[in-house]
Amino acid sequence: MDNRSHYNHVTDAWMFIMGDNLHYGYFDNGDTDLQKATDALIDNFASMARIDEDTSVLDVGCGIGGPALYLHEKFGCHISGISTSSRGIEIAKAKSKEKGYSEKVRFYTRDALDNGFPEDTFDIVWVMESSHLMRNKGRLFEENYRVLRNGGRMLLCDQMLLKEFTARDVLRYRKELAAVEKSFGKAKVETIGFYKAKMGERGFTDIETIDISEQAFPTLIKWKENIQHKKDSVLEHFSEDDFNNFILSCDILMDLFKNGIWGYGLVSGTKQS
Amino acid sequence: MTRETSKVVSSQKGLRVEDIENQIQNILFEIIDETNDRLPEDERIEKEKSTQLYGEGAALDSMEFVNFIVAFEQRIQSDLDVTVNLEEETAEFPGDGPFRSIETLAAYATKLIKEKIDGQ
Repeated sequence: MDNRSHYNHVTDAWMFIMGDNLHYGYFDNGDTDLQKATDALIDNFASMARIDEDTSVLDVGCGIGGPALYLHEKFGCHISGISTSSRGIEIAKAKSKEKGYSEKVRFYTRDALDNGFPEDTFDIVWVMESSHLMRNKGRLFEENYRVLRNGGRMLLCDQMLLKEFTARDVLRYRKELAAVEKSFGKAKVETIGFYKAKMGERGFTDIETIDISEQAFPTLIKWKENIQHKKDSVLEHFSEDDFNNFILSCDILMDLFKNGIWGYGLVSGTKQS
Repeated sequence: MTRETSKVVSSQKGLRVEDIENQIQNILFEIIDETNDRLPEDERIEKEKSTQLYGEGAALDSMEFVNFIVAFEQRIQSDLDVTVNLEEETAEFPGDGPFRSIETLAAYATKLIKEKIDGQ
């Protein structure tokens, strides 16, 4: 199943598991509320750039629009959200309309690697947990650089490798990786160092990286709790196999986090042409 | 060993390293073709000895790499009647070992197959 079909398949079930924000959270100060933690991740991420009501943001891989709507509510900024999942865009558009934000928060079914926007359009390109789904990171950065205005900033956060995962490791973990792929889609996860180097190659400057694996880890515990607590609702959209595999995938990812293999990073860089 | 298998092994015993290497090279290129059939046109991998199969910036993602290696092991079994488990048989190599490129994988698989054929 390609990622477009995968996301169309999982979006409705994920809303019961993950809430309005289909991404990890930032758990700090003993906070255990998933919604607060996912908002906190957006806040932390947004702090890597200056955003106000005149800022124009491109949200690449916008999911069901949660972060875009949150950012608009908080800063009043203009946002264009794109995703290849037509189901995600349908939900995002309905939410934006319901909140009366359609004028400044718009959603489009588009490909991140060929987004169709003119050059020098946005002050910020916001890539929240979508880059791991794209094999060709170089092309993603090229496209983001193209649509950024001079001085604009690309912010990216995602699951990342914290140490080298060798070919033998991949073969040894083949069953676990297959389970995770089945639940979360086809992924090409890279190290934080890879992101930094690739962005530098493209010409981004002032590159900043932050490892927040520790703060992101409890997300997996919450997802596992939520899917078990909301089993009946989830099973309206998932098969039993999808349900069980999701729980297994959370356990696998928790092990990878605990073993210091898998983690979560924030990266940002400025277009300075 | 069945009589049919025995015949295949017997006929393989005379193979030179160069013959095995050529056969392995062809198998790997055929698997690249099969893999490329499943990839978007602009993300296909090059049919070159230097093609990097796995690692930072390589063309294949983790599961595609697993599928590639599984297909390779199956083709070695069906075409050469030799069973190899590349995960186990590369245990002593640090890092990505023989999996760095098509060339290194072909060289290692050739050595392994030659040893197995000669030992049978």
